[in-house]
Amino acid sequence: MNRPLIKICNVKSKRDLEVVKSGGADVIGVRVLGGAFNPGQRDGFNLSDAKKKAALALEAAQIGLSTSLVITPLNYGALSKVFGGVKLDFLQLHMDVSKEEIDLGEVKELFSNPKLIGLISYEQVSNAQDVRLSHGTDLTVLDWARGGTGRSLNPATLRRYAQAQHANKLMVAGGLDHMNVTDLLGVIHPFALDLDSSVRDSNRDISEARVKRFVGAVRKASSSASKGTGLPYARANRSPWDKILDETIEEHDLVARSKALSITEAKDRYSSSDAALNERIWKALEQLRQFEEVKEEWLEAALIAFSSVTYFPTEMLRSSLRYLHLILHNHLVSLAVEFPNEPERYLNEFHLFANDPGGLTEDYFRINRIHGRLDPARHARVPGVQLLGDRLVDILDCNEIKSLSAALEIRQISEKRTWVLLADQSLSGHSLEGDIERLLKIRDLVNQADRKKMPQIMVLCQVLTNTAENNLKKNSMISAALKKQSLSIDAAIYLDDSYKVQSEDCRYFQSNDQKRSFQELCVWFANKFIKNDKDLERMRSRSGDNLEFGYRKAGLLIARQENCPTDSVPLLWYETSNPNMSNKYRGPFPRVHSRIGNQKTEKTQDLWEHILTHPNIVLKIRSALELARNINE
Amino acid sequence: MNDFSIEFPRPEDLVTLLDEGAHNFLVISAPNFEERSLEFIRFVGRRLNAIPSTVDWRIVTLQGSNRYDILDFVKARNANRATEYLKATDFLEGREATSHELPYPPRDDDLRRFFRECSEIQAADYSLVIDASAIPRGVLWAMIKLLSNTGPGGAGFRAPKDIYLIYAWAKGYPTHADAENAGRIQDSFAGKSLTETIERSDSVDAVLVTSGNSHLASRTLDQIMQNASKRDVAIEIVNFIRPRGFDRSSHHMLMHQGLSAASTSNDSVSSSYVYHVEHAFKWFETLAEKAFEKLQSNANHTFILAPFGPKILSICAQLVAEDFLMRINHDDGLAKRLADAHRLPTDCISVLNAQKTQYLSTYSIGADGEISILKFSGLTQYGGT
Repeated sequence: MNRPLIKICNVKSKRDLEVVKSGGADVIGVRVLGGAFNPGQRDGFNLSDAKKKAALALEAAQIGLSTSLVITPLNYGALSKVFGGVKLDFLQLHMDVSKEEIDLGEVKELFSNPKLIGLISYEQVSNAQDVRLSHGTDLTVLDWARGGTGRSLNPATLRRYAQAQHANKLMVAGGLDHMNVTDLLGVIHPFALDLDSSVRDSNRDISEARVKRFVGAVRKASSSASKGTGLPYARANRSPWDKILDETIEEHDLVARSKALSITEAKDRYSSSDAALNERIWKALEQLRQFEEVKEEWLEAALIAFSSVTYFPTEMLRSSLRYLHLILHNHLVSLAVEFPNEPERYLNEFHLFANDPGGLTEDYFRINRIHGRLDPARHARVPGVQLLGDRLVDILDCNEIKSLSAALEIRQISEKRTWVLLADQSLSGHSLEGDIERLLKIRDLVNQADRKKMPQIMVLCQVLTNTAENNLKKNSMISAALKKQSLSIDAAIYLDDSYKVQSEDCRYFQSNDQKRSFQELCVWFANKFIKNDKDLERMRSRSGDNLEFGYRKAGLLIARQENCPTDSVPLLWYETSNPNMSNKYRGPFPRVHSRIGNQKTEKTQDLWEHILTHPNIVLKIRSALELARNINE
Repeated sequence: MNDFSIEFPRPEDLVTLLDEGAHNFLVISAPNFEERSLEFIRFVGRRLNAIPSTVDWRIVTLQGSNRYDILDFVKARNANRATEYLKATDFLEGREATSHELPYPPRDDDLRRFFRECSEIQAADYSLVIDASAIPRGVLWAMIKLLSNTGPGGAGFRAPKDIYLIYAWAKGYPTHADAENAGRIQDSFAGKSLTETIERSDSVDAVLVTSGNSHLASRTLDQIMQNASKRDVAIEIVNFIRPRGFDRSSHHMLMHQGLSAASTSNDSVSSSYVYHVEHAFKWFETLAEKAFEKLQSNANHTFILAPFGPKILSICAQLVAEDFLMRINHDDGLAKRLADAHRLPTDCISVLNAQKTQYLSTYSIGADGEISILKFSGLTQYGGT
């Protein structure tokens, strides 16, 4: 049988038996309630009633129905004698067994080894984040504590429970009817369904018609052959759409988030996109769904994650450059620099390096209306720290022309009171750390060459994460310079740890189960796609893993209009490069990589070692400065 | 043009000045039912053991007609706490923490009386520090105008050399916040409605700040756009993002996507972002400059600032607007063209606010520890309008 067992509870008569049987249900529930229900009884229960129930159970067996005896605390030994000779399929303990003095093994034996069913009350689990079976019973019924209330259970709670347990050990009770059972079976596949009031008529008699209707609904909902047929929207009849609960949508603000993302992205279309974002998300989910090993809860978690992406629109980042320039401006003013309506005088005061030289520098100058960026007399053409290193190599060179040209630029840069290192984003801090360290060392060399020169270093980031900030501060050289205030780090946008999917207080998921599901998906994805992709060899090597959570485990869900950073999880940006793969994948924000494959290790590190440890470097810098000065004079 | 200057000092620097004892300060704390109205006292109290005698610290509460409702009790409780903070561990070195209760709304006479009561510290040049976190904007402005129009002591008190406006940022806002400012949107200069403000101009530049009450921003946007076909309209939606409060800022934008969508679907609407109070102020100045240029070539142009929160940005907007007005008044050619067009200078610039119609909460929740300061100097040159 591929559907849950259906139990009709509180059967009291032969007529009830017949109705249950003809209605198509499988199990009858008979109650012998003791203790508080039958105070004053010698063994805690009504003997005459118990005998009747035992006779019913016998008859049930004869017509092919199973019996579940529902009991509360009473004299189990005495009751077992009444039911001696009856083959009980289930013994349902309507109590919190963890609080009762009951030896489950003994009770089971007394009644000739039926399956024991314990009770977990819905009140106990409805608000719990993590729910666990706490009884030693074979099965568990989940119901409102008192039972028989007719109140329905919340599908979201059921699903949470089912994800934590084996659903095939669960009997669900509570307000079930032929309509809500269809929804329920979309969420969970329990062992059995327990009902009572919903199959009774106005006289409180069990109605054959109602039982038939309920059984029919369960059969239909359980039949895979009938799934999806006759439904108008096939696209919604698959994961995650068919199972996602309203509560999940509500808790995660999915409507608002996905709309906001669409609006932002429509205005500022992602550079590598070929369709609207919602469609890209849908396609990505469809691609994931093709893999059998991808669980339904993973897909739901992926939908939540994709809808929660932080997308930085271009104008937000452009505006941040104005703000960052304001920080620089205020710093220069504090040095008693005056700018009487001559914006180009800015360039007398600072040199701008970019962490990733490209359009960002040009944007900075243009947005802040600073003229003369390309005038060699105002701003040396050394846009990045790497090139500054090259200039230092040049002054060590014997070639006079090369050396002189470099000297002029180095002098110009050294004359500036402030060095600015501009970064679009620092998500792990790794790349920025290297540049800051080199600038600090070079500044040190310049200072040794000329004690009057000690430019302030200002790091200005459009976006900076808490992780990056902490990593930078762990560097002893950087930390010392920050303490001395000869270095400052500022950002327009700070992202705290809640933006990481592995974080304890990850903002994207409302439950640990969902977070766990997403993390499992990320690990599966890396194993499936990333591990063997040759194009990502270098990245994997530098990250030290398979990029399960993005480069260096950054765990972010962010994207910018120009490109999606590798610090975001690969589910966002990965695209299968091998056209021959049978199952391809393209994330909603496919990335254009600046480096692919595994190039030989750059000689960058060697170059820097050479410069910084060269025995004559300070002398060469000093000579270069003096040589340049002499020429100028 | 204005000779007053505006700066944005760091709160730590102000505390250092208070501590140095080299200069007189009159500090006004104005606790109300908002927790953040106590934040500045706490900020100073965490950093200093005592306040020198060069600092005269006053606690001012505004008393409306509802003396016994919950908000009033919370306000009274906070005023008590403020007093206790100042008295604690001899913070005032034996001096009293003087409290003043002013009627709400205060009239000019009430404010004059208050400043006279604080006149001792005003014997020499002094600076005024006002915790504006919880003072209604209208009251704050009335104080500033009163002081700026004050001569050297004739009124029984004198104008400060500088004014520091303190703004403590809230940790959050109650869910009812948006429903509270549901009243009429009007111009703070002349009390005209928004419709009245724009109906007599054929060209409008509007700056909408969305970071506070976005419903008001949406309503304003709608009303202006309704008139767009008859006018040359340019709207700038300014989003305020606090660098270390990106999550809250982005959540706010998430909840008010209609404003984001407006700039996607409409050529007359553009959006920009500001990341600091000073950044916002300078951006408003930039936008005001563009609007002034338009006014110089079209006497029927109107510049509208709609700063529906946070309050410190409203103050920045007001200052920019006052400067705009002064520029008009100092431009003889423009003044004449306006007169020919039968327009007053106050017809050309508007700062919008909304009448608060219901009090459903304590208005803000907690304080997140961050404090912004706006300092302006040269107050007597300011003049005000």
